[in-house]
Amino acid sequence: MSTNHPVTILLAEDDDGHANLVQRNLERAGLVNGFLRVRDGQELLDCLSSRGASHSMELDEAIVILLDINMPRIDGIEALKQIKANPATFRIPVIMLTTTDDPREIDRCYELGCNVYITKPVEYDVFIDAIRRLGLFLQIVRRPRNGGK
Amino acid sequence: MPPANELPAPALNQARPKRRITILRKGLMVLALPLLYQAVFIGLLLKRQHDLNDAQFWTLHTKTVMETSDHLFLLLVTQHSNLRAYILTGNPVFEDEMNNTQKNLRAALLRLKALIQDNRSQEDRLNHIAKLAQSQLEFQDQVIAEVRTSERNKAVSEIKTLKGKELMDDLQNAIDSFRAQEEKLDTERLETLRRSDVEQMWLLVGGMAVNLFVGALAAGMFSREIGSRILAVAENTRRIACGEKLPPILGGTDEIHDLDAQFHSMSDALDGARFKERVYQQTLERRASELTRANRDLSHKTQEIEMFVYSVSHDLRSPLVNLQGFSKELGTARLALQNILAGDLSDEARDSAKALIERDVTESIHYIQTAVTRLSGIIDALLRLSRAGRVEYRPAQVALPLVISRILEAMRGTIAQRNVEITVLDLAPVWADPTAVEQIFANLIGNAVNYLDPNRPGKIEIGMTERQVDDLEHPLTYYVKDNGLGIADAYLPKVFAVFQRLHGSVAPGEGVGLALVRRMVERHGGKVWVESIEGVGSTFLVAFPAKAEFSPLSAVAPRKESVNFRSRHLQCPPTTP
Repeated sequence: MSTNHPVTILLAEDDDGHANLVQRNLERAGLVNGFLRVRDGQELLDCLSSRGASHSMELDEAIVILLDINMPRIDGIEALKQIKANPATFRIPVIMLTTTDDPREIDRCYELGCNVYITKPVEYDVFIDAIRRLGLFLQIVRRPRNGGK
Repeated sequence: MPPANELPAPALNQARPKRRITILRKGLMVLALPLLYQAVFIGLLLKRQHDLNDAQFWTLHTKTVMETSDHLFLLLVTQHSNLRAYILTGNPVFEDEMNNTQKNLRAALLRLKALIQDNRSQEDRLNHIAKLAQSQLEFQDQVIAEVRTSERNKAVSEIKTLKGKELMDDLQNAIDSFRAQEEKLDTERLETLRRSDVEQMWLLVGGMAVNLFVGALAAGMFSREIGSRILAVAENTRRIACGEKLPPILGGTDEIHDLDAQFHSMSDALDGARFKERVYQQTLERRASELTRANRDLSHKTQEIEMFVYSVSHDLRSPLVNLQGFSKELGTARLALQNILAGDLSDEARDSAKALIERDVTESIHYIQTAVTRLSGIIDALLRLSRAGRVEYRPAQVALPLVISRILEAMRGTIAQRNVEITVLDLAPVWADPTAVEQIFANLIGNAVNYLDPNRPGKIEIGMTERQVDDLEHPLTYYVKDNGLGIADAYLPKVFAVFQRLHGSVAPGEGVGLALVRRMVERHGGKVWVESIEGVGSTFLVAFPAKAEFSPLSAVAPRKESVNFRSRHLQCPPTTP
């Protein structure tokens, strides 16, 4: 199933450990292909803007962005704002995945157009569970293709 | 208020005993003028009356004189006819008659003489009459003597000589002349009286006019001296009520002047009260604005603390996620290893176990160690931050070039390694805590060195600028300028916030350095800010209060208020018995 409909996951996360944990658990959940990690918002935006020119990512591929908030240079909020303001990228689903559970921050992200907001819980089982459910969720995500094919 | 030198009279009035012109005196003066005139007028009238009486007396006098002269003439005629009768008859009755008449004649002459003794010309005439009368009498005596001695013929011839008749004619002429003169005098007196009547009429008319004029003059004087001045005082009271400026105190030495002077001192007192009120108002406004500022600062600080707690909680949670996660990973790896060890140790299983140990276990231990180091670093940073807020500062005059050279000496290794060119310009000494100053500049220079652009040779400049700073008068502003990576505009506001790291991967750190710098600078009453262009470089500026007395660290005496809130009703302290 997943091989038929590959979903590339773009993870923006400055903490190597977090990135590692997320990747491991997504793999355990069965999401094996298409995982790309960037270290901050600037890198994410650069990656998105160069996507058209570079062949490192297939244009036809479905993309889902996992976005941390607290990052150096450009943080998750600013990155989200720019992604949703750009006509070329605003269709890409964005999932906020962050330690921040401030309700105001959550509201702000939804206002800016994030699709899902997931808190990284300190309790590892809950965290794993959340990632696993996210993996399952991502498996059934199908980004509508242009022309309806 | 007009100063005393403009109007010395009222101010010195009390000191210099001067004859006061009071309202009473002014009133008397105003009244006195017509009164004086009326007195003169009445005097003139009285004199006129007196003149009239005099004239009437003299008219009467003339009449008496004329009557007397007539009587005299009658007596003379009677005497003459008696003489003739006596000659004719020789009857002694006529002799007696003649003697009587003669007596009367003398009496009349004497009376007349008494009446006209004031008039020299009439007196002469009367003397002439008396002389003629005397001659007549002598003639008659002679005739009578001749009759008595029976020489009647001689007497008749005497008569016939007409001497008696001549004498009589002369007498008549003299008396006529006398009378004419007297009549003439009378006419003259009447004429004078008539003229005097006309004069009196004019006097009355003129007097009335003058009286009216003097009355008007008095009214004018009263209006000028009393009425208009009282109006001026009334106008001044209105000005006081409206808070307008008063004209100089009214001149003069009367009660109105006193009243105006009182109003002026009242106005001065009011002005003083108004001034005090204004000062109180200003003090109140200043206090209110200070309070507003304090409130703003407080809410700012509260917001900062919220941000701080938010950052700290996030930053503490991040390593915890790793600790938990990789502990679980270790557990998972342990289970997998146990499973492998429980079975036959084939080569494949051995490789799998080796891979588990080398990959998962090693990785997990690495992340756990990293997370613990990070947590410890965060806690250390928090302690440093807390210490920066609590440590007691001992301000002194700090020679900055010395401090900078010490910092550069300590960083010598890093500087040499990075190939940095550092310029230190003239730096004025600053009143601050030496340790804090060293920490501040160490942080700023350290940042400048750490975040240089590896693609070009580093240049760092430390100097001073004369920039204006809000809330600080003539501050001492130092700067640390680099040509490093620079800071994006979006990130500028967060530079001094705690646990914010822009170039997270470039250099190690917890993100508290600039937060510490700000904390320390603000405790000195100063300001720190940054100007930067991404990719070109950054300039960090630190402004300290110029003088020790402006620094919150100095033990300055509490500010004195410009207004003394002195109580008017000070109560005396109870005296000890």
